[in-house]
Amino acid sequence: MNTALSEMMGSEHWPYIWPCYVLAIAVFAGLAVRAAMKLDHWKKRARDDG
Amino acid sequence: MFAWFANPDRFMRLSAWALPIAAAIAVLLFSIGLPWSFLFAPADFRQGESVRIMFIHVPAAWWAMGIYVFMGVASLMGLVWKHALADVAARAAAPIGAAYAALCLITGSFWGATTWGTWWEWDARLTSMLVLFLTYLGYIALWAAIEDEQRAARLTAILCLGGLLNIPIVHFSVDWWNSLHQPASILRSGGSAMDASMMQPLFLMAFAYLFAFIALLFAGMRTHVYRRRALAAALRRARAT
Amino acid sequence: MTMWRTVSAVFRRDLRLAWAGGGAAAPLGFFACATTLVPLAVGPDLKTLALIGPPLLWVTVALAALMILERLFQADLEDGSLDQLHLVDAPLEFIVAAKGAALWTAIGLPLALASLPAALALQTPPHATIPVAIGLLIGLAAFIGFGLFGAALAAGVRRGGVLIAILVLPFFAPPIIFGAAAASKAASEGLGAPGFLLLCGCALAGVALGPIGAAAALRQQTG
Repeated sequence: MNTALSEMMGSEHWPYIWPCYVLAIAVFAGLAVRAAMKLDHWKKRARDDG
Repeated sequence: MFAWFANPDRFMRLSAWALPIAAAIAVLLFSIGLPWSFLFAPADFRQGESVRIMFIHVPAAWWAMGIYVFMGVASLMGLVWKHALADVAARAAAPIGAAYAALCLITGSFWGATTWGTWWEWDARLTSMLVLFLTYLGYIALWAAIEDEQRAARLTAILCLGGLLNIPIVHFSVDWWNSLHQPASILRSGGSAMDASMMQPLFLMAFAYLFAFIALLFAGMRTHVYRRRALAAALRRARAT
Repeated sequence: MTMWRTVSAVFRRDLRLAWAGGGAAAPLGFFACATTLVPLAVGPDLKTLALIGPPLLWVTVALAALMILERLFQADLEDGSLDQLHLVDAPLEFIVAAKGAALWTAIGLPLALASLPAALALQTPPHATIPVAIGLLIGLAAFIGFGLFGAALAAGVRRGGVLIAILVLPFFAPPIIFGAAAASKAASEGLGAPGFLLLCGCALAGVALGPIGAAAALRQQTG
């Protein structure tokens, strides 16, 4: 695995590859956090008001 | 089957357990799929290591389109059959679809920088995806702009259906325009049949994106149901005093 | 017979309102400014101007069409005449189409005429300016048709101009693509240029489907 990793990091495309993976993780994490926060907020509001 | 879901209480009971399961499956699939795409899938003989971007970019493209079709079906069900949760489903799906479209565009841009040497190409797929992204933005903007929720639900449904008709036309028009201006070129290595060793992680990632969408969709729908309950309760209290 | 009388009454009324409210002044002014400023920015190289001329005409005309859409249903919604439109004997789709036709006549025709000198200034050969203007006129039918849809969706929104622009942008893309391509080849191939027929198709779609979508949206706006 180490050879595969160092091979990839050495390739000319490396600076294009890792941002895509970071971005994908960031997007999904962001969507999940946002969804969880909004769900929690309105669940509390519904419980308190209703 | 869809009518069964129309009851908000039933949906809340279903999604109470379905949401965590979908989320867990999504996390599992990503934790297998991401390392697989990143490290263990073989490099393409023509495109080299950059083909790894495909595992992020292609599922995003598939589902950005798929989610919009889902929204179209939901819009139709809300408009024609007056399905009680249809507009909630469409509204919750939109930000997810927009995020997938944006992810597709940005990663596509990176991928293009390696294969075409340019950060943007006005080919049919990228341009249609850009227009789809703008369509998502317009849909979300319309929901935000109209105060009356019932009216907003119907108007956004009409808009969504109009957009659904438009997307294939845009794709055709850009395709036509490209054929006019440049000779046919293989824009992706998708010109050649894909090896099984690449298909497997690709489909795994596709399922990961799907379950992430389902989990996020259910979360968004539950949020809107709670929101409606809270607002209805506030309205009742305001009327009582 | 009364249906056509109602429809033509709406047409004439909107025509008069368009002319009375300054008419095509704002869109024409914008068109003149843009077609003057862009060449100033690009530089006097005639070959470059000839290259960007047709696309510039098309984009400017599309944006000029956007300018007039915001007020289209807003005024009718505010003074209540939109509610009354439901009561007349003509289908709402035809009424909306009549409003669109009035706009096309009051604003589209002057814009297309204005494109003739603008095209010349942008190095279009004289014999090609007529096909370019005809293309723009047809394109305006598409822009107004789809614009009706966007304006109807955003009718109740304060300052809905930007929202309308976002909503209709995806629909403007195909006519602009086909129209600009046809205009670029107008010098060599006139009305037979590739894209011209496809542009006509877009215009037909806009004229037929725009009022249908707009009427569906308008029905949600009142009551």
